[in-house]
Amino acid sequence: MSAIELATKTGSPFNDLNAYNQSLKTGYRLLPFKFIRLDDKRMVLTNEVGEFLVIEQDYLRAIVNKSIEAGSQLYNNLKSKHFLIDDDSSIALELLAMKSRTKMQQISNFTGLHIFVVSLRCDHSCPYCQVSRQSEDKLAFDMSNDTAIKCLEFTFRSPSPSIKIEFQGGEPLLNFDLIKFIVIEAEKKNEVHNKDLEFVIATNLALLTDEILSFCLEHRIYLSTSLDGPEDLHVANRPRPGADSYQRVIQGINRARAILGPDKVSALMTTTAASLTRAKNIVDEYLLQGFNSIFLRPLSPYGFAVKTKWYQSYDIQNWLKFYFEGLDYIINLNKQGYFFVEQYAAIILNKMFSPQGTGYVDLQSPAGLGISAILFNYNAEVYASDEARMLAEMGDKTFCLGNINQHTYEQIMLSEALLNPIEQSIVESVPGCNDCGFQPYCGSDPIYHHATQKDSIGHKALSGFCKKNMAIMRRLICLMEDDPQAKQILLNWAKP
Amino acid sequence: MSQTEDSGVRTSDDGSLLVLFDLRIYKISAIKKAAYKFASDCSVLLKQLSVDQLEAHLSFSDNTDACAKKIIARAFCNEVIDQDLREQIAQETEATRNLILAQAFSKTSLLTQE
Repeated sequence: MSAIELATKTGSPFNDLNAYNQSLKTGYRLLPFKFIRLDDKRMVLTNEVGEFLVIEQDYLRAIVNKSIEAGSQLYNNLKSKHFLIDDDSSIALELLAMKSRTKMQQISNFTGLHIFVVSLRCDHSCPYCQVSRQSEDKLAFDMSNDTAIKCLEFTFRSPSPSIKIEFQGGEPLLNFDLIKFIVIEAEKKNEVHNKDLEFVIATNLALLTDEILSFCLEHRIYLSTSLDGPEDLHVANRPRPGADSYQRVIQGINRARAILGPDKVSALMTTTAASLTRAKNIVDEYLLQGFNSIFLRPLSPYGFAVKTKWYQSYDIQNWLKFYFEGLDYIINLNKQGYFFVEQYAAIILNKMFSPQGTGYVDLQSPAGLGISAILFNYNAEVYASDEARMLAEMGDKTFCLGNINQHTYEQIMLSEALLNPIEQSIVESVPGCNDCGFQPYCGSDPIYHHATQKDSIGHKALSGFCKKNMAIMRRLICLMEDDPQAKQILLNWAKP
Repeated sequence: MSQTEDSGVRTSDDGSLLVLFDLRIYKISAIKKAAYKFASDCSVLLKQLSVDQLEAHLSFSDNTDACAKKIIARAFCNEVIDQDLREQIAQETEATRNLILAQAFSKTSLLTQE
């Protein structure tokens, strides 16, 4: 009945209050949801689209047994977050379907990030290098122009409206002529394809010149660098001749900011055993250098990091202790008025609160291998991700999808080497993940599990990836439940 | 010979713990899922004693003390209950879940207005 008809009939445009409480008579039905213990007393309920609710654990069975009183606060919370449906909420299924579709939208966009390894040569000799760089003088480790052209043709086959080309190494600036060639050729191609085209160079900045900066300015190229912390830590982690890696990266950051603009330079850190006791120092270094975020990252099980045993020098529990010390410190900084973000937490918070999915390859279902990001190695081989080529440099080519000189787009994108791990990374069907309460926020990392367990699916009870993500998700939800000020800060980070 | 302990959990001579489940209450699939999830804490051997009874034999690494074993065994029992409830919820909501996903990927509405 319309409001006008209602007003004509009853003299009021509003229904009687009882009309909104049909559920008092007819009860409720459960909508699909999962749950997991938050701590000794509380449970987290999550639904298909990532909405969550924390309840006292005693209420869980009551919810399932349909004995929650209609109109109670818990009932209304469960209803508004789509954990139950009653006769007053017929729109719920359509809303859930719409939200599910929005969350998965990124899959239909297909590959956005295209990584070009223009050279495996490097001027640094980092013991934790995960890509197994080669020394500077080996020209055999540079990508050729012919290969680059074929990679670009492949890139523009992607249906994605946004294409990001990221140059990696080694140290990509050692083959800057090829970067220039690729950027100019890509821009020419884009005159036809008209994509949202973006370039990033992942560089240690040690070889930055005015010529390079001028080219970056002209072509709106972003720079992503590595900064591991204060000078002594950075130099120890990232040695180079002259022991000046810190000095060079700081100079590079400042020069790049001055010419390209402050938003054009970002930095990443990697945690080594020497970092574990220095979370606050590392965050302070980022503050000192004018960054407003940090990505606290553990070492990955690839390349020299494994060979030199740096990867094995700490376990995930040690890293989590470091991470939480850093996170707590960052939240306290925010409480004091500094806006500063921990990026991994922000990615997870985005998954919790944003209608869109994340572009972060490791926290997608299916994993973003090939379908979100793809990598062209210097030698024309195509890999499902950056980690896949790291593994290949260790002699394991499980995730090599083909060769750009020998295989077509269709052959590469439909190869078993890509389709199998994608299928195995759908967390909705992975043992240990399929019924996990944190599933809507998580993903599967087939390459990590292949590297650590020789099994792309992996046993999640033995998985460092699972331990890390479960612990961080628990901590974030606890913070939001127990500390209203922290909740407000974390909500501010959850912006797509 | 084994010694009876609290809450239906017994300790055997070799230090492993034995937990008895009533299959009229718990599903075997729920017990199996809990055993899978606890693989990093203990290895679990399941033995069906009768139509109604299943025994879970929890073995631990040598450096696990008695107190830690008890905590793990209790958590294992809680996990069985959780898994049982998860199965119940999944079963009850399966049709709705399929409908939501079908609607999400359909170009026409599969949901009636009523």
